Amino acid sequence: MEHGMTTTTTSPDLSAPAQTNVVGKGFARTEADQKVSGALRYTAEIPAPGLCYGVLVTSPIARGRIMGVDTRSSEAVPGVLKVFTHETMPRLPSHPEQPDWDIMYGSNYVPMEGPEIVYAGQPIGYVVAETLEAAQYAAEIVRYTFDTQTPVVHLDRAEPGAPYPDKTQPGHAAGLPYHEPDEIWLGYVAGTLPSHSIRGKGRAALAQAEVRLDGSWKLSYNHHNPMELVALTAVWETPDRLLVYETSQTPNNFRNAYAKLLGLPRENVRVVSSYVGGGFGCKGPIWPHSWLTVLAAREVGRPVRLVLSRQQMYTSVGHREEQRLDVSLGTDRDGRLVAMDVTKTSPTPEFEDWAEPAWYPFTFMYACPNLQTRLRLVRANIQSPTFMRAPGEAPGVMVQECAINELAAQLGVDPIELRLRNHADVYPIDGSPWSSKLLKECYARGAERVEWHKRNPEPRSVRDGRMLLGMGMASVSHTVYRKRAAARVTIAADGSAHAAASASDIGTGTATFMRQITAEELGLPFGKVTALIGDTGLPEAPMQAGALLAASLGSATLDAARRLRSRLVHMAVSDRESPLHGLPADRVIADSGCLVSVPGTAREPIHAILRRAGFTELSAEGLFDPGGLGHPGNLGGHETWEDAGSWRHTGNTRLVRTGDPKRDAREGRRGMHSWGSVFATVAVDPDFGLIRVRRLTGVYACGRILNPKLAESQLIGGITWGMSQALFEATHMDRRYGRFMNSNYAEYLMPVNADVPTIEVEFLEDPDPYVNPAGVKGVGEIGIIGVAAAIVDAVWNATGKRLRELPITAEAVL
Amino acid sequence: MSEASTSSLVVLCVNGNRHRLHLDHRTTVLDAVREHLDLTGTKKGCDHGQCGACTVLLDGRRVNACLVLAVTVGGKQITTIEGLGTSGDLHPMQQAFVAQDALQCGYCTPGQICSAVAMLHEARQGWPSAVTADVAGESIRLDDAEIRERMSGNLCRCGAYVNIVTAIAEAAR
Repeated sequence: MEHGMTTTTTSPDLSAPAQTNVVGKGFARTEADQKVSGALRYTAEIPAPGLCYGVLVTSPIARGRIMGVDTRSSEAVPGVLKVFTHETMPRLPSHPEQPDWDIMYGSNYVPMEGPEIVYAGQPIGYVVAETLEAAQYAAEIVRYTFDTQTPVVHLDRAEPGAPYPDKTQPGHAAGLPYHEPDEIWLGYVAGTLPSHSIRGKGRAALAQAEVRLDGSWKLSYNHHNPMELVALTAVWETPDRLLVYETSQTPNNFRNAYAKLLGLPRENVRVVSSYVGGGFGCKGPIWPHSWLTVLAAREVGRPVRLVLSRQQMYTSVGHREEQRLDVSLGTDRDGRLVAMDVTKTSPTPEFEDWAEPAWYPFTFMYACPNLQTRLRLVRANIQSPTFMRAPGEAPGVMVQECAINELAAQLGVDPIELRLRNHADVYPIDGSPWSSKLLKECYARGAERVEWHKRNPEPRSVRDGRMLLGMGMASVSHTVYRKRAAARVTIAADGSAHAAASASDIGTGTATFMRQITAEELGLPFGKVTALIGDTGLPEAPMQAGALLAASLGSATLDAARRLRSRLVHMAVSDRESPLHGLPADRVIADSGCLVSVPGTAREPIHAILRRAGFTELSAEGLFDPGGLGHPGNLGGHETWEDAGSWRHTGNTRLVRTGDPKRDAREGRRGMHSWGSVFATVAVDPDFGLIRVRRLTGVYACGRILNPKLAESQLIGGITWGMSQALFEATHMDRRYGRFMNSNYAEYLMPVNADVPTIEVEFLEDPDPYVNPAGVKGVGEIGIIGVAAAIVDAVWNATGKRLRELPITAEAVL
Repeated sequence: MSEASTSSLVVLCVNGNRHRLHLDHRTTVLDAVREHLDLTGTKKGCDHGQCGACTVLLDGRRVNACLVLAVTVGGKQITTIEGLGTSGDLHPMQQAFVAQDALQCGYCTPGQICSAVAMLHEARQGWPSAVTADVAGESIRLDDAEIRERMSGNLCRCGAYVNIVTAIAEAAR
């Protein structure tokens, strides 16, 4: 820190009235001018002196062994510096172990340490050259001989009677074609979201149901496909100091991983990742290509830049797994849920267990006394699946809402009415109250906007010319996640301020919301505040994932700004030379670059207070800590909190809970979710099966909306993803070879501009005093949720076809 | 192979500036501007001509820079996003993208904007599209359907399409 900067530790005063002129306004995103003019540098665009280029060689086979490698012709290419094989790539000093929320390995498999091949696309070579062209060419001509074995990739291996080779699993001994893991990803599944859970009598209660619905839904492999290719530049500044420019949603986690894997102190590793060209989950965890690049750079003694090819993106940074959900719902004759049973089956790699918790939404969406959930995994020759936008909810809500819609038709009850009959008035997991829940209001407002009452529930009953029209809807919900976050806010004697934290921005508005919160708390115009993000040298912010960053970092920024304001107020009121001298601290607010007495007319510019004290600038650090750093039980949205008044600042710069822990445990638990409803109108060509979505309408209650312009953009984007899940996205596996067949932008279908209909987004006022001091629930994930179910139901309403396999194709409609 | 047989001296005219470069014959216009001229506003999303993130103007017409070899464009005028406007002096299309928040991560945005600028020119020239009702007509009415169709060569994974259409319609006025 420069001379004159201090970090305050005094206790701020929260009673000063909050101003409301910056937060909640639709400011343009901070980096917009730089993005539209091409001036913003993304990871692979940051220069490094002496830079050379790395290119991965990946396995064309999915299972087998490397029997021989010939690198001679590659090494003869002019400009090639080094061709690494599994025999010559330096070994990691330490291997990935159990992942946790502060490291997040995408996969615990370490390729290039032996000849084994366990998935197609696995790194088997690494070329470094002076030029990109030389590296790419040399990578193409490394010659391998393989002992190729038949890969196992089919989800249907989970069918009864199929052989199961994993002898280490209990399922093998029991003669089952799958295994049922107790825990995945340090509790991501088993800790907060038990995969094998029973509520009440579980599936046994289905026997008492008067109405039954049983179905199997099949969902395809999906890939994140951010526009920016995954990339990094590794720079060894000294033999034991590493700088990495990385496309990362989680700079601190990457730093922690590098330190661990390389045996370096964390302070010797710096990861820079400010602006990322989309992530959607695949840039959250660290993957093998990253540490291979770091190892290669150390070996060649020069900075190495690696940019994955688009094709490599399909086998290098995870995917959303193919999955089948077998669902049974049982209700009474009025449609009230009596029991639900859901089993997810999906493929997982040979070397570890991973699954997104698609059964999880069944545990929170509706009131139901009896519930059973199950996860079955099938060993396969694939890379590890990973988090992809709304992991768990995207497939899980989709299937549950499809089932509810089918049930509504079966019962002859309006889909909204059926949902109201099953509304969960309390948090179904433990019976505690919700922090806030506006689901009914979302139904009502959405129904009003789309004139739901005009929907004819009879399929094939509405036409527009030749086209069959249909309408459908779904409930939407996402858990509020939160994680420990720190931020620093600094004010300078020239009246400007800046906020800083290590978080990256994947297109979400990190810098913008930090500026807004800082400006509001310090009473400054938005334009006077800047933000610095995306560098592990800054205060530690959490991952940009799970819609948790604005909630967590927003609260930390709020804390830092309030501490700074409080420090300034104390400086003024205790200084005889200040016009504010002697005033009680709670009678002073910040406004228009001044501290101002309330009521009254005394005021003093902040820069004058700083100058008199001899400061060129003054900083405060803030912290938001929901407790139990990294513990899975504390990542979920169902923690123990007192009421809003219990958020208190303490002297050691922490926001902590106060109150009686016993009372908290008894009364303070809250279910914390954001809510919404989504409605779809589709037109289906009865002769060609072509589905055109005409209109998508989403109404959301997501807590406090920091910036409606940016939040609406994220929701529109998320809804577009939901449409894509319903109608476009599938990575197709060639089951014979275990390879994805359409690993490119031409054949992996995603919506283009002409596919996108009218999309309407509306936010309801949702003040939630419980979620966090910033009142934010997050909007990054919720947009995708439920949309596909609304479209599927609209297609049924148009055609009478009940489709249970996504994406829906024209031939399925015919 | 000798160096001379695999590389050539190329004169690239980019944003009004002439650059004399010795380039590998395999170097694309995309890699030439990004790696050799440090003009990184042009983005690499697929390197296969499938996403449009690398769209630049070649003699005023939009092309995928990843599909054009640099040795083939000597003497032609290349305009990249940096040549349209700078952050202190934005092109009207760039301004409209900011005003409408027609971007999120921003990685497809330079390509979208270059594409949109050329697309407006194509429409003014009367070039029809797949949704033009009267392909022999004199003029094109650039409604939302026309903009969507003509901008469908530029992928946006964040899903900013709705606002992209609004921004282009605004800039077209």
